[in-house]
Amino acid sequence: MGQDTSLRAQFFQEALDILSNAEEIVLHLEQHGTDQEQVHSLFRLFHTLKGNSNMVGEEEINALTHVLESEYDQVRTGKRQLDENLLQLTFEVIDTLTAVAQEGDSQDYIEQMQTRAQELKNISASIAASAAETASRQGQGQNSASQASLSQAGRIEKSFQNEIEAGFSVWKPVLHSFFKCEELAFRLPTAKDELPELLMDLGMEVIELRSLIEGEAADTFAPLSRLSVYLEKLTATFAREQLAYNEISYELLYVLYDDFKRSMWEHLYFTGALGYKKIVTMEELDRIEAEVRPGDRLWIIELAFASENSVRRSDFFSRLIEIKRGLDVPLVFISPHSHYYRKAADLLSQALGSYSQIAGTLEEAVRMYILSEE
Amino acid sequence: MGKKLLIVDDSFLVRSGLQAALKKTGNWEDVILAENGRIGIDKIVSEKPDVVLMDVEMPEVDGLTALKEINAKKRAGDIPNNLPIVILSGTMYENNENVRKAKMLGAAEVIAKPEGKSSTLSIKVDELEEQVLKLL
Repeated sequence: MGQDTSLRAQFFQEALDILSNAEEIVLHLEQHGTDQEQVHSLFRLFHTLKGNSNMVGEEEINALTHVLESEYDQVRTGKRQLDENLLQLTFEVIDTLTAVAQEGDSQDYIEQMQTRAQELKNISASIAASAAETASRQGQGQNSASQASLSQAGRIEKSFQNEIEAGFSVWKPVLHSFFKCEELAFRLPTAKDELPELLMDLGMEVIELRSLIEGEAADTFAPLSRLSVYLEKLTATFAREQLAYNEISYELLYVLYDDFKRSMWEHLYFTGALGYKKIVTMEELDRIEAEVRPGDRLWIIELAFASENSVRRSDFFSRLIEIKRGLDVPLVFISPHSHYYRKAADLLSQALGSYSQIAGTLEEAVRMYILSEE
Repeated sequence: MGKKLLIVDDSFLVRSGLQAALKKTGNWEDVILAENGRIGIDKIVSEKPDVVLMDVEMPEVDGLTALKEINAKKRAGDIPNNLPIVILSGTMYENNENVRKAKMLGAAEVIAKPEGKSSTLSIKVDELEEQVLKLL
């Protein structure tokens, strides 16, 4: 069916992005060793891919990413170590899946994917066997030890959550300033009489942006530093020359904005400062109610109702409205998949009142959230 | 060739000190004063100075805000387009935000505020005057 094909195409497109992010993280882990934040990001990426593949009925991809997800869940919760074997296998899985996604069809890769899944299970089983051996040697202490490790896992997750929060709050002023710059810059071509003023405003904001980037958290923003200097210099030229719209110079300006944005998102994802979750089942939705606290910063909900085992849309919406009424938190909805969901989200947003906003992508959602905080 | 200079600074010491020093050099027909950006803009319009020296940090209307308004008035034709506005800055560190902002807003020059003991002050005022005269 038509809608099916476009959903699948979108799935593979997104898969490519996810896999390339995952590859970068695996490279990083290989070079720098275990890094909780990175492991968590990797886990999240495979988790997303698993969920997505389920939605489009890609069983083999689903099975393979499920194994990967559990492996990194074990690493993340300290139940197993990250070793070269796992990293190597992860590389190979990413390669295979990238080939599938590029092809846009998994038919020719089914056997290969099954082999990879089996290999992953094998190394996991061998680790479990040796762990069991150690545990049985330790005898009586086993029970309390496993409990201790469980509560420790909980702590690790909690502290990770805090780090994300802290990470994002460092980024917030930069994001805010950048979005303002971008907004002003994109008004330039159509500005007539107000061009000089617009250029001055843009100039001031670009300087603010650079000051933020070169400020207290300069280490975090180091990759953006050079771009921010270029942005300022180019804007200064525009302001000095009172440059009205012409293709070449403006093209250059927008290329700079694009580069800046790409770099910014890469670092936001890569450092794990930006996290998101996907709600597919009613249980996951219920969990939101328990997890959200008044004053929480951002809850993004991706609306996706593609597979049969997900909840009925109307049930989902009414439950969500219920939750929202009980909690005073701003919500941004993301509904990237199709026009249809967007419409549904739109209706939902109306029911929820002025807090809620609709965004097409995660980036857009973050942008709306940041700008709404003025 | 009498030129008129306007000094906009909230510090009485800077204002009157600079005025006295510049009057002595004999290069100026008149050195007039304003204590903030608002009064500065009014005097630019009413007194028509040939050059303006303006501080950044000032109460009511600061130097950068005043620069923006002056730009708008230049575009509207209320202030001559070629009137040079020289920004006096406490810090001359090139990366200083105010220095960069002043340049972005079209300041003709950003010059360090002359300060120090009276013995060295006159040298600094001479240097400042030399830079300002170049703009005319």
